[in-house]
Amino acid sequence: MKRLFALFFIVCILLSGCTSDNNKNNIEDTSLIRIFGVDFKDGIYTVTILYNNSASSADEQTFKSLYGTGKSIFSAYDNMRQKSEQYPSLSQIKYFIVGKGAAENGIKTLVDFAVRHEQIKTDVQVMTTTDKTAKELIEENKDKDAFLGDTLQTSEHKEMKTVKHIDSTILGLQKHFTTEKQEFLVINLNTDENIYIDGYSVFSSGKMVDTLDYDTALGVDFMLGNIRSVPVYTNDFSAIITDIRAKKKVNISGDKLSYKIKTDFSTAIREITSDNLNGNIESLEKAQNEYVNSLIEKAVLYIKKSGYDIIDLGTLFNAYYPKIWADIKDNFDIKKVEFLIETNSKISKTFNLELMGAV
Amino acid sequence: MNKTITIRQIICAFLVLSITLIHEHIPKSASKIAGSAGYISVIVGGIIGAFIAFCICFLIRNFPSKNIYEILEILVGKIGAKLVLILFFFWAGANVITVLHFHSLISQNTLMPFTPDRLIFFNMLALSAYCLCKGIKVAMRISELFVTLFILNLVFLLVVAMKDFDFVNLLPVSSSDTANIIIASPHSFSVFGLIFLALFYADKLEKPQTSFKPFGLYILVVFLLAFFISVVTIGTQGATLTANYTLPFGAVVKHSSLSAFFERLEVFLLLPTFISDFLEIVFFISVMLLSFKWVFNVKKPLYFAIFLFPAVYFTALILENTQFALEDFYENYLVIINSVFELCLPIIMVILTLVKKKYIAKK
Repeated sequence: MKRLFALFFIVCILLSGCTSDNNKNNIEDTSLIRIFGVDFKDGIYTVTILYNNSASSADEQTFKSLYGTGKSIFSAYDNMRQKSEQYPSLSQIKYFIVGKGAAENGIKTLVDFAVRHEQIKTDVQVMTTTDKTAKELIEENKDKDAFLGDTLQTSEHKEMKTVKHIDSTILGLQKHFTTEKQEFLVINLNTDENIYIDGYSVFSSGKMVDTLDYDTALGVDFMLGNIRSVPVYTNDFSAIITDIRAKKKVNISGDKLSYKIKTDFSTAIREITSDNLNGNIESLEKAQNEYVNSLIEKAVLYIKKSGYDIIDLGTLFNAYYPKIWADIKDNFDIKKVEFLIETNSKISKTFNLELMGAV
Repeated sequence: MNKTITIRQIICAFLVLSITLIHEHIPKSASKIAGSAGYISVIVGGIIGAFIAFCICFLIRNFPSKNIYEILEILVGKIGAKLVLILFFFWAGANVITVLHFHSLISQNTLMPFTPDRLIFFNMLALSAYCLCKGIKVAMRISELFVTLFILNLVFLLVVAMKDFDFVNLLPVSSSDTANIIIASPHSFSVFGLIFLALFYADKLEKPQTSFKPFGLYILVVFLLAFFISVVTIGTQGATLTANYTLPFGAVVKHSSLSAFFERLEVFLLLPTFISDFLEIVFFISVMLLSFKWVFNVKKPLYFAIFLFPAVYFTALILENTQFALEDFYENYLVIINSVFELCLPIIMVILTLVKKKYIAKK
């Protein structure tokens, strides 16, 4: 019994020590941040958050927005935190939305802020918005029936039906910051009427320099072997490409650098709109290959024109030719790389109709 | 409580106390030295670890029911044995303080950002003192209870952490990396070789262990965990990030496919880590107490513990330094010292046993 009392006494002393830590927050005093927006203008960062109002009832959950400003992301966040009626928790952040100004100023500081914070998960997606600032986007959508976080999540899930993975997470971006040129892609949002993923923003030296339209973005994903399924539209038919198997290969012979991507895929016919095909599977396959090639060519054209290594060729050359790469990496010019593209389609399904012509 | 221990309990204890080192130090140190080829150094470490396990098995077979002091006494004489144990005392002390600092660093980086070091040190040492009062067998039985759960948990985390695994991150590997792979290997075998401390408790074994199987199994499990954790960590986030994260595998777990369902998925990794830290501290302090007992012929070393625990606590506080200095000390000094105690010493003991075979047989 004496021992038990002694133990109880010691536990009381130890627990009293924890009160000085301020590690505790009551759930009703905590606001869970779902979306974290960052803007930058005239040397000032604006952090806007969309959080659930824990004071509202469980049936009618409402969301509020709040913003703060400062010379850095943390100081802007802290400014917002001071204004908040509740204690903001970063553990439930689903998306970072970066406004055009902040993206053009560079997102390294945002990634650094996110990685250093113990609560923020490293699989949080980063998205850019070029039409509106992050603050405008969040404030415009805070009172809408559809919660912005759910809209973005649906958009992300839809995109995941097209691509195998989206590399715009905090960890994915942090990995790009360890490369020499820090050239990479971040999901770009179209916010005109509806909110949806519309291509990529291109970053060089960690700063946004350009945006890619959806087709070019698809071409880039084909080059990366990152496509899961994609629709094909030709004059004679429409189809869905599935079961895509991509083989990437880099080669250095002398001064010549090349990148070969071989893509095999199956196709499911969705509609046949003319009689020109006349049941000729070969011409169907040829038309599909041409369509996919045209997407890839768009991407190649962009890479050759801009000179940005958005497909991370540097990492591939370093992986397979480390010694040669060490010598040439300072003078590496992606414009001089030869791109070899091979696409092989195989029509596997015509769905309910087995006719290879329009009904 | 029955004072005898089984080989199973020893193996379980060392498996659990290795968990922190396996996921925190091995991938980090390996990728820092050998870059993307770091995971190969774990294979080299595993081979050396198996050799260490063989040495321990050989010693136990040749000196049944004898602890390390009694073995050393036969091999190098009483004074030699006491000198070695004094070195063990300081080595274990250095390890206790390093583990305390790393435990505090991880706690503050994850769940307790505002908790001061002194509170974390005090709590951990108070728990260790309580455990040691009840006997080292308590620590072993705790390990026995948790070991399967922790290993399955690590396997589960490994599977969910493979979301963004990219084989390209494991390249390049070339013959020019050989030197770095060998230099990085002590970081692995210094963890696997902790099983050498089993010799401190060999006299308490229920049955003298003559089979290599349990030690081999220990090395195999620890090696497989270390290897796959290193491969997944480097393969997911690349060698540069792995080398720079305080808790590299933790960062991969935070990025895993299941992280959306849990507010803090990394807790599945942190709780075993904390228990592993606790057991590591308990075992190293136990080594200090046993060394003190044998060097000074003290019958009840627990009285010495009354002075030892405050001494460890205040030394840890006095030696409080930056994260960088701590990592520098661990990677550049402690690993080398660990290698001496866990690899060189068993080899010397085995050689001496072979040389003095007739003398030992007489004894």
